[in-house]
Amino acid sequence: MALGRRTRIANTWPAQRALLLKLSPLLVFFGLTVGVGVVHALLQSFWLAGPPRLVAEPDVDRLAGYRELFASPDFLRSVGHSLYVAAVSAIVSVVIGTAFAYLVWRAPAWIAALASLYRLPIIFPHIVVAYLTLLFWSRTGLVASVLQRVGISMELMPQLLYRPNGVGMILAYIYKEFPFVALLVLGALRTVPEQHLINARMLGANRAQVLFRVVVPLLLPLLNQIFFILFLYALGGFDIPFLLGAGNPPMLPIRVFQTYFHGSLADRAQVMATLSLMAVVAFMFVLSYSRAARRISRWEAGIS
Amino acid sequence: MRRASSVRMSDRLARGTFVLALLAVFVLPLVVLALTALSSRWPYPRLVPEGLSLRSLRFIRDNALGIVLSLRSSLGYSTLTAVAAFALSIVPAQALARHEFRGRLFVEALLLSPVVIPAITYAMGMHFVLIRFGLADRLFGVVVVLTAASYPYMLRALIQGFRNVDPDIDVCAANLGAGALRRLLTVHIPLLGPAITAGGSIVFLVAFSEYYLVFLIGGGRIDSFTGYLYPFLTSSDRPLSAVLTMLFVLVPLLLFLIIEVVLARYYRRRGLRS
Repeated sequence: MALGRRTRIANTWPAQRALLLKLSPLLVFFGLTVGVGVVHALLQSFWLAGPPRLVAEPDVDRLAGYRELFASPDFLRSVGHSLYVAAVSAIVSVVIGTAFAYLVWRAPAWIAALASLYRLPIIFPHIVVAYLTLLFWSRTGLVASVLQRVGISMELMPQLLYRPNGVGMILAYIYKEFPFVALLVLGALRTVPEQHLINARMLGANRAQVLFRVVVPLLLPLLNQIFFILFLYALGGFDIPFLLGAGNPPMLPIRVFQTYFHGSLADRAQVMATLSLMAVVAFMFVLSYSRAARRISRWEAGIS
Repeated sequence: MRRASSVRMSDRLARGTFVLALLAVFVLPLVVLALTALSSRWPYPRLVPEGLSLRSLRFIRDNALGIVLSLRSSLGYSTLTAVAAFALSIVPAQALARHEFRGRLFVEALLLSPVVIPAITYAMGMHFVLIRFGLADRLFGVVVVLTAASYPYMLRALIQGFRNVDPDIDVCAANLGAGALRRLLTVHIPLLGPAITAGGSIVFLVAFSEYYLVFLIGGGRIDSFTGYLYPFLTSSDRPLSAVLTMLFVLVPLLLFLIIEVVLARYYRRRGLRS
């Protein structure tokens, strides 16, 4: 393809220097912001930076932050709670979003046009979605009112918000994220060759088989990627837990926020150790993603 | 015959259900939001408000100054963030789209990584550094941290944009003697119009929606609409929180309407020319 043509950078220093110069605005900015931020969090987590008086203490335990974290049952419960909310909301969003995209893709044009309403939650800010969740799913919200009409009283409806079951947060994340999944999946579905589907039908596959044997396998790499993006977002997101989350155990970002602003200076290493661990998990994803991308592009180069 | 018509019936039923579900999921919340804003009281378990009142609108009128100031501040730093993201990304995006080199995918993944790295992990470390350099509690610090969190959307859009433009156009302009700046203004920006609009609107929106980062780095000194809204959301005064939320949603809605219109015109013009 002429449009996508890339020129190879020669293995000489002047050519590479020119390339580096072109990339430098973002490389420098990234280094000074994200790089410095993460490194500084790491340094503080080992008591190598931070509150001067505490850092200067001669017999300071460099690993104290991490030791305290893993000895704290509260922290471990927070981790479990965060992983649970992030995983459930990401999986359900991917499933609903994919199913929704498939329905829209196969639907007649006028329904597909009406369905473009689905893009609304993508542009809603997270705190708006959290607020809508409050209006609908709180114990005196609209859903509870409807249930009361059909004879299920407030006492029988489980409390969904501010509870360790995390349902309120999960609902909010799903509402915000499944349209995003649908948007990306619809884009991918439009590139699926119609001929594949016709061939499958001619070879005797029914509708469900076409979906699960042809379409889903084609989408799987994309769905994997989207899952991790949503999972990491929910793991580190602040706005939705701040409005809908449980006080005990709190989601990790809320715990970090509380200890940072309301805890003592001695807790600083613990806070930064939490952040460092979250950053390490995220960077591991980035690395594995770039590995996967390299494999895919090699494979593409091989067949073209 | 009967079979065919029964299939059509079930098809119609399925379509009807789908349309109803669409309206319930995407339109009903906005209706409820508007009703809440205009209600005087809406106690459980009523399905509609007990009475209507214009109190929330009067509140907006009486507090117009504070609302406008916070809205202006939010619009201001969000616009600056979009501009900064563009300025930082345009040249690297071209290099990543047009060249092949060792480690290209790694560099690309690294530069796009702020999308998946929770902002909280670097924002707190950055906060400490910004305090050292006296940039915390300043507009500059807020724009820097918002740009760090959102520039990947611009970068990605621009890379895609460059991939869709024939590199020979650029070579041609250079051969005819156009310098880098002239090529940027007369070749890249017009050709990348849709990519810039798409990337810019996402960056703007991410910055505009952000509550936590502005609060952390701005230290309460930088006004923001999210900061104005937040206390109302946690209060029990539903009509006020609902009306302010509507105002908050209005900005992205208007932005996207404008963009749809602008892009449609852009494509029509191009379609007519080619």
